[in-house]
Amino acid sequence: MSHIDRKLRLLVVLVVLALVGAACARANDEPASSPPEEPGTESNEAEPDEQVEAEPDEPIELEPDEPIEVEPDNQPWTIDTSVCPSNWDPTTGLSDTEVKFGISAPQSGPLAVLNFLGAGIDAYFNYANAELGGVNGRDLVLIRKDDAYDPTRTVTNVSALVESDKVFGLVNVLGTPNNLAVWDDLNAQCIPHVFTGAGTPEWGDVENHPWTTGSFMSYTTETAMWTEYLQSQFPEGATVATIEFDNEFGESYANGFAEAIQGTNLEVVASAGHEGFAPNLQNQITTLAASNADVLLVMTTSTFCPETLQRVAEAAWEPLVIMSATCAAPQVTFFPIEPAGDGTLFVATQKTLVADSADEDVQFYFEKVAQYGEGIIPTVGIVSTGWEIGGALRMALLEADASEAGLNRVTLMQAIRSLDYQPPLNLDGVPFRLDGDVDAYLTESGVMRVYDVASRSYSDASDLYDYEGAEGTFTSGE
Amino acid sequence: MPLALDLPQLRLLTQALAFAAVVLGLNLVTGYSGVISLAHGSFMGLGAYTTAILVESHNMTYQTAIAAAVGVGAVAGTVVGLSALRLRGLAVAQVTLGVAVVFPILARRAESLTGGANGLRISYALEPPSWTGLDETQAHIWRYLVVLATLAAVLFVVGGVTNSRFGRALHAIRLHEGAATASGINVGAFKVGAFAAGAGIAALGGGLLMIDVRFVSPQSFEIFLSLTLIAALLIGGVASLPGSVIGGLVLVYLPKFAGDWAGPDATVLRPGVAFAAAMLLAVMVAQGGLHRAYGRLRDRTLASISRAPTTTDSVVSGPAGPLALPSKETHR
Repeated sequence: MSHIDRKLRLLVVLVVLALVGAACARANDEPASSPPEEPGTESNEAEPDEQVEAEPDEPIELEPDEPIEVEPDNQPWTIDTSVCPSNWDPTTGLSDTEVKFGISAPQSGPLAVLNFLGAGIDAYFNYANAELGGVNGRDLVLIRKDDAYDPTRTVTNVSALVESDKVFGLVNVLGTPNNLAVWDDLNAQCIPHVFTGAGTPEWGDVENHPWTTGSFMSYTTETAMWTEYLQSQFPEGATVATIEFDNEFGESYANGFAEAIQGTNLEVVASAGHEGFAPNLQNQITTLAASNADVLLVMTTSTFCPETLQRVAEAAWEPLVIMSATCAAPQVTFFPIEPAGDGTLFVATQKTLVADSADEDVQFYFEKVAQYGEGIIPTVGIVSTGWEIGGALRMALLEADASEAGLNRVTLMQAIRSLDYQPPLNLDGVPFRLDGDVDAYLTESGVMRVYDVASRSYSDASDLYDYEGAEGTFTSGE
Repeated sequence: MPLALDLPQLRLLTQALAFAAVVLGLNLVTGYSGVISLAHGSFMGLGAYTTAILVESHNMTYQTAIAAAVGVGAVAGTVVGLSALRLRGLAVAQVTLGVAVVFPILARRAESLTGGANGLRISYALEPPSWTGLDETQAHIWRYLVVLATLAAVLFVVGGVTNSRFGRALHAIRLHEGAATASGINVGAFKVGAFAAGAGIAALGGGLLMIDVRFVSPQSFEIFLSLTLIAALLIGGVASLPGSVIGGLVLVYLPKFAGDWAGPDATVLRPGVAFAAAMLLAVMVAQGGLHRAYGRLRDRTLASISRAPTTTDSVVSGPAGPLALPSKETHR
C-alpha cells in the first residue's frame, strides 16, 4: 500500500535484526565480563561444617560505638522479626526434601552474558545435591528468571518467586537498580535477599536492610586498591584519565575513586563517558590521549574493555592502564586485540583459572563444572563467582541447620552475617567474611594482577591488599 | 476471571494493561496517522518519572501525579510533533530516535531529580479505599481495577475520537498526505495533535505502571523499549483498539513466555530468537496484526460453514503487508 507501510515493514525487519544482533553480540561475548569479583566459597572435599566453624585468628576489630559485639560462634547479632508480616512463615520454601531459592538476572538483552552467574550457582547446586547430599539431605533448588536487566521485570519476577514459587530466599539478583527496586519489599516481608549481584556499596546497609547482603567486592574497595597501587608506583604523584560507562556501574567507580584519592597526589585530569550503544570509543580516547595522563582507568565493561585498549594502542599515548575487574576475561578483552593490551592491570581475588593450573582446587572445580554445568565455560570469571556463591550459600545453610532452632530464614541470615570462610578458588588471604552489623562487605581483599600478551597469561603485580572490615557498613548519609 | 489470578499473575496483567495504554498512544501516532515514532518509550518513561517524582518527593496522590504526567507527556509530544511538521517519513523517525537515545541519558544526569542511574523508588503504595471492602493483602486487586478502569476510559475516548472527523482526517493523512491536504485537511495541525495525544497517553501508561511497580530507573526506558513498542504495535494490530491491548499483552507476556520456553540454561540466544520469531510470524501470518488475523480466521470459518467461499477470497486477496488496513467492511 502506501510508502509509509513499506517503510514500516522495513522497520520491522530492522527491529528483528536489532534483536537478533543483540543476541548474537551476547553470544560472542560469552566469555566476557566477569562481574566484579569475588565471592566464593565452596566445599570441595572438606567437611563444610568444620570449615564454617574455623574461627578467624584475629577477632574482628569492633568500633567503639558499636553496641553489639559479634563473635562467630554464638551470633549475638540478631534480626528483629517483630516487624515481619503476620502471615510470615520463616520456613516457607523449606521442606524435608528441598530448600528453594530464586534468582532474577538477564538471560536476554545486551547483558545476557551475566546469566553465567546463575549458571555457576546452578552448577554448584547440582554438584552439591549429587555428591554432598545437598543440605543434610535436602536438595538445593534454584529457580531462575529472566529480567533482561530491566528493573520492572525484576519486580515482577521477584513477586512471582515469592508469591507463586514460594522460595525460601533470593540469591544473587543482578544489577543495582534491579536490587534497589525489590529490597524494601523483601526486607518488609522478612525474606532473605542474599549475595546481591552488584558492586555498589548500598548492600552494606545492615541497619535498615538486615535481610539484604552483598557479594561482589564493592567498587569503593576496588578503587581503593587502585589508589594504593598507583601511590606505590608513582610516589611523586601522577595524572589520571578515566573512561566511564555512563550508568550506575561507571558512576560508582568514578565516585569511589574520587573519594579514594582525596589527600593523595593523584589527580584526575581528564574524563570521558560513553553510552551502552556507542559504536566505538575513538573520540573518547582521542580526547583522553590529549591529556597525556600517566594513568588510564577503565571504568567500563564487556566489549568496551578491548575497544578501549585497542584505541589506546593506536594513539600515541602509553599510560599505565588499570581496568575494572569485570573486564578480566582474556577471551574477550585480550585475545581479539593482540598485541595490544600488554601490561594492563586489574584487581583479582580468585586464583588464575587456567586449564593447566597446578592448583588442586582449580582442577577440582574444572572437573566438577564439566560434570554438572552443561555448556558453561569454567574459565569465565562469572561462572566461578557463581560457583563460589553457591558454595557460600550452602555453607551458611548447613550452619543454620546445625543451630538450635534449626534451619529457617532467621537462622540463615544469622549464619550469613557471621560467615567466615576461605573459598577454595580464592587467593590465600582473600576470605569470605561478614560480621553482623560491624562488617557488611563480603570480599575486601585482593591483589593487582597484570596481563602479559606474549605468554597470554596473568601474574600478580602487588602484595595482597587486605581491607577486610575496613568498609564497615553502609550509611546512607555519606 | 482476572480476580481469580494470584498476586504475581494479577500484577503482570496490571503491567500489561499499562503497556497497552502506551501501545495505544503509539497507535494514535504511528498506526492512525502513519508517522513513525521511536520516542514512545521515552514518553512512557517521562510519565513514569513524573509520577514517581511527584508522589515520592512532593507527596502528591497517584491520581494528581498521573494527571500531571499526562500533561507533561502531551507537552513533550507537542514539541516533538512540531518537528514532524517540516519533516516526513523516516526523517521524523530519526528525530524521535534522537529523543529515545537522549532520554535515558538525561534521566541519569538529572540525579537530584531522578535518582540518577540508581533510580527512584516510591515508598507510598496505592491502597484500596475502605468502601471497597478490600484489605491490605488485596491491594493489588484494587490497583488492577484502577489501571483497568483508566485504560477502558481511554480506549473509549480514543475509540470515539478515531471514529470522528479527527480520526478520518488522520486516516486520510496516513493514506496520502497530498490528497489529504487537497481535501482541505490541515495536515500539520492534525499531526501535532496526534503526537500530543499519543505522547500524553503513553505518559499515562508510564504513570499507570508506577501504581504497580513503584520503581523507575533509566534502565527500564532504554531505546530498546521504543523498538519493542513498535514490534508490539505490529503484532497487535495497527490502527486497532483491540490490537493495542493485544500489543500490551504481547509486550509483557511474550518475553516471559519466550524466556520460560528457552529455559534458564539455554544458550543465551534463545529468548531473543523466540521473540524475534514471534514477531516475524505475526508479520507474515497475521498481517495487520493478531487482531485482524482473528477477524480473518473468523470470516473464513463462517464462510466455510456457510459454504460461501467468495467472501474468504475477497478477504485473503486484500491489500497485503504488515500494515495493510483491511477495508472497513471486513474490519467491522
